[in-house]
Amino acid sequence: MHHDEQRRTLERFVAERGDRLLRTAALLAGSRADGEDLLQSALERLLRHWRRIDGDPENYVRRTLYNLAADGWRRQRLWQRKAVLFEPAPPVDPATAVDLHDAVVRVLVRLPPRQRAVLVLRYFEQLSEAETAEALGCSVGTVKSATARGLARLREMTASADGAKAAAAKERS
Amino acid sequence: MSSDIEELAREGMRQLTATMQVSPDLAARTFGRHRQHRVLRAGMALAAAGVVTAAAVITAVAHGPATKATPIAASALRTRLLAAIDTASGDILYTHGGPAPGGGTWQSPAYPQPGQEVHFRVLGLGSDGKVHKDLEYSFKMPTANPATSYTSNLDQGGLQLSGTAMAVDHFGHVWRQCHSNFILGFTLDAAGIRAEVANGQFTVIGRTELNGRQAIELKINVPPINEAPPHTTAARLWVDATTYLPMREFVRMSDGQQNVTDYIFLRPTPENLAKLRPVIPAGYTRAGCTQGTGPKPHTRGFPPPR
Repeated sequence: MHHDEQRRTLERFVAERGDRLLRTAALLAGSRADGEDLLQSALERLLRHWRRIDGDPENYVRRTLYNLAADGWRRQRLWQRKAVLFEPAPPVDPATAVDLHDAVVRVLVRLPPRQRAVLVLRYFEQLSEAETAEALGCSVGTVKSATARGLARLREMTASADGAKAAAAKERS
Repeated sequence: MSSDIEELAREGMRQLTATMQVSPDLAARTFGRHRQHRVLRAGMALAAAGVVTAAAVITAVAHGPATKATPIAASALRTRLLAAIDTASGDILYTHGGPAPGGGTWQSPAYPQPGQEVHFRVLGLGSDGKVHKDLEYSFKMPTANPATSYTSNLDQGGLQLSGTAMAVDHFGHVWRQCHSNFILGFTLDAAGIRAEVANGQFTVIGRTELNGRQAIELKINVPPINEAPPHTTAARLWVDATTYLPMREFVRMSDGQQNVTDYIFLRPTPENLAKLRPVIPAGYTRAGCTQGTGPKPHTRGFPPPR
């Protein structure tokens, strides 16, 4: 593919699918900024291999995102290690969403990359356990145990948030 | 059947990302970096022997030969290291090790105490030297200080904070300063290193030279990690043999990746304190704190990876 044509194709691809891919990448990497770095790395690989890709390139980019994230991509550079989970997006329902954001962020930040990738693939990408295992190159058993650990952490976090809210309400009354 | 907690995970992730949009120039930047890397790869193929030599030099720096000519007692060293970090606690800690010189992080104070105002700047430079991110987080150290409960500098952090985040958006030519809740996904370095030292999690390797200064090389004893890879398998710390302040940390991961982080403690002079603030180029305007223009429809049901 000629350079100009390749560039235009990439621009169209990013315009059409970039936002969706960024959301996945941000969850895998831990923040929007690191997610965009991760997505850029995946898109670079797409450019390198585009000629050999058969079918929808989005599948290739997603697989690359999963593999880079699970391999601890963020640890490659110091400033990428310095991740700050910062989410300025307005919650849909301020009364409930703050706790939800908080719990999910706190769980994600504490999980090692592969466990985090498992949760993102299972519950954001909506892949089955078998599809998640195939995408990450691990066994279904590993996916099951990582999912159970991640959900248990989320349960603990939300339980403690509920407890704090109940205590605050009791104090106010 | 989907449980409540699974639904919570699903909905939480959806809400977290609902309004995220890629930077308008992502495709252009990606294409530019792709072309730059093509040139680099071509050059590397021609100079493969030279690259091997350079890699060997880097390895030698990371594992510089230490001498055991002067035995150093770990207990006495521990006392001096802790005292050095405590004495420099009010300094600015500059850490770097990124792909281009000039980037890195600045943190003031280096070892914050409960209730202290902390400023943390991240300046990310790409391999082309251009500013990729320039952010400052300001927050008050919580009274129940989780940093004092770090067990080592290898922790994943998780300090939950409320404060102000300032970000310069070089793609949109705007900057934002917003109050927000955020989580530091890493340890505050001086606090993490202090925890390693206080716990006695190190073995003295010996004296060596680093950046033209006398240094003491320590092996950080990595505790068994019961988590999915990649995780830390080896860590070294070099401290200044005169000031006893950390100079460099080397970490190797189970997947073979290696990180070298250099530490420089700066006196809190007006000139150095200015380094904590992101640089807003002329002509940039202040933007509101809400990102994006609202959620776009999120298409699901893409084909599973083949």
